[in-house]
Amino acid sequence: MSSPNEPPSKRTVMICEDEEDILDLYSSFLQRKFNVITALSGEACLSLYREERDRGKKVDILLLDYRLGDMLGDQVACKIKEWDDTKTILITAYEVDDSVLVDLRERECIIAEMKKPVSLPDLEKMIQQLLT
Amino acid sequence: MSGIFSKRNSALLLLIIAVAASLSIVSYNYSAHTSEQIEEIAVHEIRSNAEIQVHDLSNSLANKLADVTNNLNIIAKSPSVRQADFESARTMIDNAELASEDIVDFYMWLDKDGKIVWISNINQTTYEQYRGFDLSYRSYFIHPRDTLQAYYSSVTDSNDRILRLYISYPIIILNEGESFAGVVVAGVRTGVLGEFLEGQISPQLQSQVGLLDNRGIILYSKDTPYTGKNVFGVRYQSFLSSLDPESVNSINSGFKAALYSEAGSKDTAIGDTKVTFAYQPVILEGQQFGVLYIFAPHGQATAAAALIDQQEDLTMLMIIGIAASASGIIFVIFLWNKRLQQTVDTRTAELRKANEQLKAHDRMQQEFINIAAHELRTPVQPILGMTEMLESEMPDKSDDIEMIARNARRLQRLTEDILDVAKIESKSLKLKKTRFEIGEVMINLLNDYGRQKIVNGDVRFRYEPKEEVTIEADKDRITQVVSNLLDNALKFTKKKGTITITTEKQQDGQLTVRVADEGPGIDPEIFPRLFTKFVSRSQKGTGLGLFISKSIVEAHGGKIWAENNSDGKGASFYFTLPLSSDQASKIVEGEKTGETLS
Repeated sequence: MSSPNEPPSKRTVMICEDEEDILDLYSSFLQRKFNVITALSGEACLSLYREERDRGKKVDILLLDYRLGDMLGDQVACKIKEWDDTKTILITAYEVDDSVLVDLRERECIIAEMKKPVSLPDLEKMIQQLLT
Repeated sequence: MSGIFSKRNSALLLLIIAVAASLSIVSYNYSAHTSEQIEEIAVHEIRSNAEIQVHDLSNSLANKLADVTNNLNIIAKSPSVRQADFESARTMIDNAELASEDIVDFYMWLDKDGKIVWISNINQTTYEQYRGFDLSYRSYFIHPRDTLQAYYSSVTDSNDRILRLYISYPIIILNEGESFAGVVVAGVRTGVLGEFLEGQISPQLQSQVGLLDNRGIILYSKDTPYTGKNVFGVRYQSFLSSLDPESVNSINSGFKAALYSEAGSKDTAIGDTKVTFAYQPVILEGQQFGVLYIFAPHGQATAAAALIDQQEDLTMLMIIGIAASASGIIFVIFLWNKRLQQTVDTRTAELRKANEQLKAHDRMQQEFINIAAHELRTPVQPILGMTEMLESEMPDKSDDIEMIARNARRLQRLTEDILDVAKIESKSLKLKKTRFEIGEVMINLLNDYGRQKIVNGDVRFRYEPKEEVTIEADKDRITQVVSNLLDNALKFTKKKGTITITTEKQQDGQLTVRVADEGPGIDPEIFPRLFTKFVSRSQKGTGLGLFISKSIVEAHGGKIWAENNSDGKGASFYFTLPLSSDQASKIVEGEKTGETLS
């Protein structure tokens, strides 16, 4: 679940996705340019995030699936928002109501949302934009 | 039933009863007041009529008696009587009786010693019986003899036991002074006098008439036992004592006033009957002959008051009846209302339940769409993602990978179309309207088509907008509609041709978008079902694009249609959308001023 040792210059992207194939896909693609941490559930995501923070590491971007196995992505996003100002991108195949997304954006729990299937180059492009 | 008598309903019933009671009281008081007023008016009328009647009667009687006195005067002063020309005098006396026989019983001639000389219209036999009969003791002889003045007797019991009133006049011979030569007398039966008086009274008044002489002796009264009695005497007062003291006082004071030549009237009562007692002095030759009086009963006034009372009772009965009916109707309405309320409650509960079921159904449907969306999109992600990765890692296999990617995108498109159809059919398609320029949509789409190298061969797009057109719509969904129409046009344009896109503002505040191709045109077989689900001549399409486009356009208040081009080459698809309000108002202003919008 945790990332291998990467050069310190790489920015850290945490991916939380309960579909293992998709998690591997995102991870494989983004590892080429980012330090990637993966989590298969909401609880695991929160736990790993806390660990990273305790170790003094910063998670720059959080890619968060909406419908996780154990909880919803908005709960995870808002919890992490309480701890830190990590930029969270909500990625969902689910038909999330617009009012929910507007609310999450207004409360700054998320910074952007993308609908599955996402284009990997588009995803990378968005991450790069948010990191600059 | 207890529900009917709720606090509100009971209060309403009580209010109706209170209103009915109030109306009854007001009606009763009004009727009583009206009854009194009408009775008062009627009594006033009776009193006035009685006063007029007694006045007229008095004058009539005075005139009648004056006629008799005048006859006596003429007879007494006639030469035949003065000269004791018996035959001539007898004829004149007989004629006088004939002239006044309606009231006078007889005329009689007495000589200076009070002996009968002639009695009018008497037969010879009777005459012989009375001839020379001495009546010198009678007041009607003594008084004129002694005073040489006319004399009016009180009621007198005659020798024939008939009560009469006598009027006598002295016969005076003027021969070196005045010498008494006898008396002419007129006998008037009090009964006849009474009949005359009764005959003068209006029958409607139902009055009783009476006549007193100037000393208060009753000359005529229907109560014959009191004829000849003084009204202040024991017998008459004894009769009056049966009445209440107030009435006695009224009657006595009336008699006294009349005997002092005063006319008037008083309301009093005889027994249970209310009456007006009207009195009037009778004046003969400047002297008071007597008093005429009438008792006019208030029967008509009482009858009118009784009628009003009856009306009042009827009114009360009607009010009570109306109140009872109103209460009954209210009760029925309450009952009906309660049943209606029960029905409404039942129906409301049923509707609420149905509504909840519908909401639950909607939630389930939405949940199904959400889950379907998740389950359909999720597998596409790894396929598309992996093809993207492989494309960059294995450039030598690009055609094969492109085939995977193309089919994955087709699967993605199918997924999105199916989800849209589900939203349309569950009426959960939501629009996110913003203001935007339609040209942006066209340019972006054409750029995408160019970038994705979708356009092959000699197929060209032509889009030359003449003006900017702003609409208020869901930009993504309108993009989807135009994209569907362009995809459709591309499919049928094959390898050569031009796809023309035009946008045009209409005078009715609508924007018309046209996508025209140069393909084979629309197959007549599918034309009628063009915008329904799963209708396609293409192997590539899902058959849902036009159905979804139609639903999106109609959700914006627009229309969509298609036609084959008039030159026989290809088909055109049109759709309309309402212009933004400022654009529409510009058109209206332009119409008014005749200007052309640029």
